[in-house]
Amino acid sequence: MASMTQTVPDNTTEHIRTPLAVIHKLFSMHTVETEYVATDFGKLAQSHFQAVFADRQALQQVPVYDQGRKITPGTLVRFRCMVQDPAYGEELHLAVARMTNTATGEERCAFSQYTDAEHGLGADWEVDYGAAANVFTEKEVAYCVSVPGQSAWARGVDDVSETALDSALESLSLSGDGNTRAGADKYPIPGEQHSAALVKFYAPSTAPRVSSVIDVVGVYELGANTRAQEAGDETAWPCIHAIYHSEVHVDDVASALPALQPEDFAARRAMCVEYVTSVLGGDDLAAQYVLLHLLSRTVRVQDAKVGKLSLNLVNVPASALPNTTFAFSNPASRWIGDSVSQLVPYSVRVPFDLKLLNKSSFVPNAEQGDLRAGVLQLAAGTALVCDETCLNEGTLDERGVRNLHAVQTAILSQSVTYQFPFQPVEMPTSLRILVLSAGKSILHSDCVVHISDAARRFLADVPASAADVRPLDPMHMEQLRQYIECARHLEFGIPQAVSDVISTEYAELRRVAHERGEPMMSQEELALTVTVARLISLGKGQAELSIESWNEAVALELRRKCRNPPASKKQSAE
Amino acid sequence: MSGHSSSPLLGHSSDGEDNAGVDEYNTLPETPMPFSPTPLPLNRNRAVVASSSPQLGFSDMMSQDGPSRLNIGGMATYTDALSSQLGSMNVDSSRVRQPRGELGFGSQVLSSELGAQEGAKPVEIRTIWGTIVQVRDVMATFKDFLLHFTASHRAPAEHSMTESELHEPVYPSLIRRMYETEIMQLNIDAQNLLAYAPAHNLYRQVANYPQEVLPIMDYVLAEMYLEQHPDASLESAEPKVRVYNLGKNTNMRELNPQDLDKLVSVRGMMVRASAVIPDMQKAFYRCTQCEWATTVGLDKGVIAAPSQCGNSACLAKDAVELVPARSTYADKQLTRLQETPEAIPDGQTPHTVTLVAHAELVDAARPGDRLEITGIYRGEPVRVNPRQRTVQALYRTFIDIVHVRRLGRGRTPVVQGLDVSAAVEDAQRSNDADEDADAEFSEHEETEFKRWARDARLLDTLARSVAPGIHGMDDVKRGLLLQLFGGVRKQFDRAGAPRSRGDINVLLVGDPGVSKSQLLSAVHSLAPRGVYTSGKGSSAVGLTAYVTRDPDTRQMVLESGALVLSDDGICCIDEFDKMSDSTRSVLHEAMEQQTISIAKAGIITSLNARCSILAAANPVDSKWNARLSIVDNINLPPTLVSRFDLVFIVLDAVDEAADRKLARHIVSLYAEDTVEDLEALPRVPAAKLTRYIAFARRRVRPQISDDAADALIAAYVALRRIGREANAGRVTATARQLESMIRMSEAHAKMRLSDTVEPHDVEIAAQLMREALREAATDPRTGLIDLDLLNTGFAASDRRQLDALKNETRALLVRPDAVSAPYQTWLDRLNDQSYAPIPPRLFDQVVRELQTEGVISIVGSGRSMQIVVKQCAISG
Repeated sequence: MASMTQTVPDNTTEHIRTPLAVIHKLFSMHTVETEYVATDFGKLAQSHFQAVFADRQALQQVPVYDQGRKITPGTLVRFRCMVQDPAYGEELHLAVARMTNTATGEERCAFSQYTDAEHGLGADWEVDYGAAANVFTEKEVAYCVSVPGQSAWARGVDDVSETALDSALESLSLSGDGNTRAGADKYPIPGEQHSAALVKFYAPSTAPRVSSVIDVVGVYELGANTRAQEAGDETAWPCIHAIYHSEVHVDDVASALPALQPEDFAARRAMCVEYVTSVLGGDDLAAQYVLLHLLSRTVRVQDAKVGKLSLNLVNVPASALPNTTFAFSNPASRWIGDSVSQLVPYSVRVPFDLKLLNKSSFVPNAEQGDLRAGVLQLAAGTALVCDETCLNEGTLDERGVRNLHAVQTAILSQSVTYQFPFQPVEMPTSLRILVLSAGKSILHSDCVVHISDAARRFLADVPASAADVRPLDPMHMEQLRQYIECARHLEFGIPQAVSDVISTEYAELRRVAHERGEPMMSQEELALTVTVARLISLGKGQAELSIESWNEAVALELRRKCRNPPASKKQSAE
Repeated sequence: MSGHSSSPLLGHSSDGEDNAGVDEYNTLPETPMPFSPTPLPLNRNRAVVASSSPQLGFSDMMSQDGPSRLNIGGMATYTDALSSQLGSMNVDSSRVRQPRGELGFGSQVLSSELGAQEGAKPVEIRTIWGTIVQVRDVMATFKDFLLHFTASHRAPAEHSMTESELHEPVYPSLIRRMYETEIMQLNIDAQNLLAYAPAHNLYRQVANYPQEVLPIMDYVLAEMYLEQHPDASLESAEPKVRVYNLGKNTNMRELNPQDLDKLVSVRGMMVRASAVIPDMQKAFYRCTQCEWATTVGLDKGVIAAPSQCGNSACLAKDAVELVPARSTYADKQLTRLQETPEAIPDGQTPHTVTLVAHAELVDAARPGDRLEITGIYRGEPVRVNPRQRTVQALYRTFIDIVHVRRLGRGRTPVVQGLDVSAAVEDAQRSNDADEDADAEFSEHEETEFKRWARDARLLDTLARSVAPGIHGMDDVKRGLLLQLFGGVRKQFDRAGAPRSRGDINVLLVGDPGVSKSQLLSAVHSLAPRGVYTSGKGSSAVGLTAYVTRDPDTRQMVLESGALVLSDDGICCIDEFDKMSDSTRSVLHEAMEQQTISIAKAGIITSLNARCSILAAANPVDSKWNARLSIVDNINLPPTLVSRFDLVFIVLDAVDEAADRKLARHIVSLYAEDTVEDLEALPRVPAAKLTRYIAFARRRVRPQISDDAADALIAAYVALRRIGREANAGRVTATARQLESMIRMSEAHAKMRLSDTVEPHDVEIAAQLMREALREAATDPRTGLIDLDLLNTGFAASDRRQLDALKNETRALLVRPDAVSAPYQTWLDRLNDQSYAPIPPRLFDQVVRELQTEGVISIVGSGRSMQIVVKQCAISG
């Protein structure tokens, strides 16, 4: 096996164009034993291909799977996807079959793996089903879709290869053959262009968890959808036979930039605040909170969810334009949404239009058999921008109420309940949820910030036809993205001394407030201030909470509360 | 088939045509009578056979479907091959050890394979092809087992059977019951095979080669059945052996190619069932030109229509047509089994497996049932390209059901009157059920739990483990813990006696921001089953049950709401106060009667909702007003509040030391690395606590000891005395509180895994009760506990105020000039007279009482409500 892994880069083309031939060659060099074929061969193929494509350059040559492009069946593709339904079915595959030629009586063992097709020896050959040499292997089938809400720039990072451009040109002449017909309800965002495929995993690997994001390298073909066949639909489906896959932590955006040094944090942070401030028409307080929001990340400590900071921006100008799709029609909301998608790799927009709320489904639902996606079935770390400015008077029916409730649950407990028949399953999620509203929001967010009237006027003036937000050059944008991703993944701790200071301060504040008959600081407010302090520290690249950061957080919170009209204090306490 | 197999081919039957079949069979060359002098008509459509795949095995060898089979071209080879197999079953050394790769589709291939061996030397031992299973051995062993197995072989440790019962063979009497009930199914507990030494091997054989061994068992059963009941007819159905309780359940995720064609046992919940599919077994074709007819059997899941008339005088092409009415069908149903929540690994979605049910097993279970399925794991070829006819390399998998066992709603298997198993409800079954439940807890776990139970700090340790993320609130957590364990449900034998619930209901009321919701979700995650819902979002429908139309079948279906789904568990309702009135009215029934009545769309029924309710409510003005009583603070009718065993008021109080501790706790949470242990007491991980609760709930049914009964009485009397001493008219405890106290003592005993309730349990319960009462039922004006506050919403001091107000109102009303005026006008007039504003709540009560007294009557409702003073009141 060691000799197999030493591959010269020259044969990458062979591996890409005719992967099945390579696999056959690999197989012919080894013995045929049940145990071996069942699991060890999978390992061998996996490590062989991994070695060939270990080099980034080699991997770049592999075409990216995209349903809009023409891909020759039987070639190697790579696909960064979200596992929408990991239990789409199990299949058995006659990997090694003893075949007899009915015409000549000749006998032979045929091998086939990483394909659904039969052994391809011709019409005269028949399988000897009783033979001891036959080996069955298992495939786990998962329904995978392109990661919902992938930003244009994040898509661009991966496929700037010539191969991809070539096939893109080729696809121009290709008519979009009805690949989208079925499975439309298996993509979280209705009506949005996406790619989907059945990814078949061979032992020893198994289908990854639901909603996880993975990079698959495998053989593309039009294969069988056994689930659909049970219902009588026998059409061939795009399948990817995974040779290997790796979990992509959604946040580690591959970046060409040099690693971020601790001393760079301060400068990058300033740059970031400046950028967001410019987006928000000069409102620097709101900009700071938006940045903290983007830096937030849900961490589960025991039963508690820590580090999340869902944000509600109030005072965003409303517009009368109706929303019919999941794109924002309100220019102000679109402006903010576009800016967010410039900074994070995955962002999804949900306009709270009554019709959309009543019509679409926000939670994944498997009650009709298949797991149908809901708007909230998103990859971890996705930024979800909810536009409440387009909410008008009208009736919210039962479904709409459930949908809103699901968003509220996601905000408060960072979990989405998948509706399986007779047993709802609660799945942890990790979403950054930003709610834009003109007045008091119907949703309860962790933190409410009123944007200044100047910012409001600025946003109202954003022209309806505004193209993409492009205030910085690509190089600087890359730096900002890198900064956000790095900072939010820092480990974090609070020293005992700081902890003591905070608790003393808290007890003192409550005592004073009680004496004066003023509203006391609640546990929730304390938790919010600690979260803000935590994010301020992370933004500075510090892994420990310092007294300065704590004081900054208290000051920032004070500024925020002063700006919010007094009525909202009661709201946030609710 | 109806023409043939359904008419018996028995010696004593006198069906000429079919006897011809027997003759033909008997005259086959080189075919010794395989089994018995009375060949049986065994149905080909048995449950173990995938209908799409002709079964290779002894069911075919034994089937005497009549002469027509032997006349069909392809079938002749098939049967020939099989009969030759019967005649000269070789022990072919090269074949003996072969794994069985046959997937149930290759009869043709196999028969040709077998046919090729026709010339082989005749050998005396017959085995099942490809195995070392000897047919005669299987038959003899199974017959011996059926005749001689007795309950004593299982020898349960505790049994209530007499000596004679113990040594009486089990199965002959069950076969007699089959005869009496005409349910032709015999459930065989696989553990019995293991317990009966001579049949030990048979267990292995049936588990590994079910497709071959089960038909042989069926055959033996049929033989015995006819021996016992010679007058019986097998016309309607043939006896079937249903093997169950293999002793080892396979996890759905772990089914792999090695299990193919083996007997497996999986557990799960049925989630979908298709309509019953008539599965064509044999097609009847008739030539439109000459009336020539033929039947074609299923081959590889396909029925090949003859392209040409078989009548040599006709030979018309494309003139042969299918006659559906004369074709034979078998019932078939596709269902899907989904993993149960306990089996799903953390953070993953449930897996499903497809099941195929045949004949009697169709509709044996309904979606929503928890089942243990014993069946044969099989693969079926999948065509990638529908235009190609070649056999594919790809297979989809499914389980052919052999036996369906319904598991109880809790996780204990319960013997139900399932028609399939009705014939075998013997004393043994109930033992099985117990054993099975026990099996879910390992011995190791059991000893660990028993060790816990002896710990004196158990209550505190466990209470702290409930929602460890939330600081303090020890009393509340204790109450919640007792709720999780629950009391004992009592059903009195005495006629007319009430049924007493064992579930403890808890209400949390308090300031916002004191983690009520987190407590709820913590309990929800610990509860054995239950639903978390918010009063704001749920209508009456969402909480109870509603009738809907099934999209597939267009039939009316009853869909359970949260309360029914929480049967035997805890229903957590957040924002209880925001619930609509109609929903609340349903809760009244649910909380005391523990049922939900439905009368909708022609469906009138009452569903069980034996659940505890944990509710959280916010005060009316979002902040608790210490000057008001609980009823004024929360927007809930007192009738509903009184149904809660424990009402906790969680206030945001100022206490510097506690505040500091709390702040440190919160801050420590935010430091991912350091999770400091503030308390010396150890905490139990949530998963373990869940298991412990399940263990206690399942195993322990505490009885109240005499001492405890005395203690209960004493505690109750003491509680009542508090009321009597201070001043008359105040009530501190009612029968409801006594019941609550009993339930909580039982729960505490359960927690200790003790079978008796001791005085100590009562002490804890009474203490908790006082704690909760002190907060909930304290009259803010007098500072004393007054339970009338909870029961009627009026404290004694209120009562006096009310009487004064009533007199005042009466004086105002009973005047000749005041006849009728709107509600508001009256209230305003009264307010004019009074120096302090009159609470509308009090005035409402006065109006209600006056109405009852017949002084006034009320017209209209809401704002337009008019109060009409009755003339008789004025004149009187």
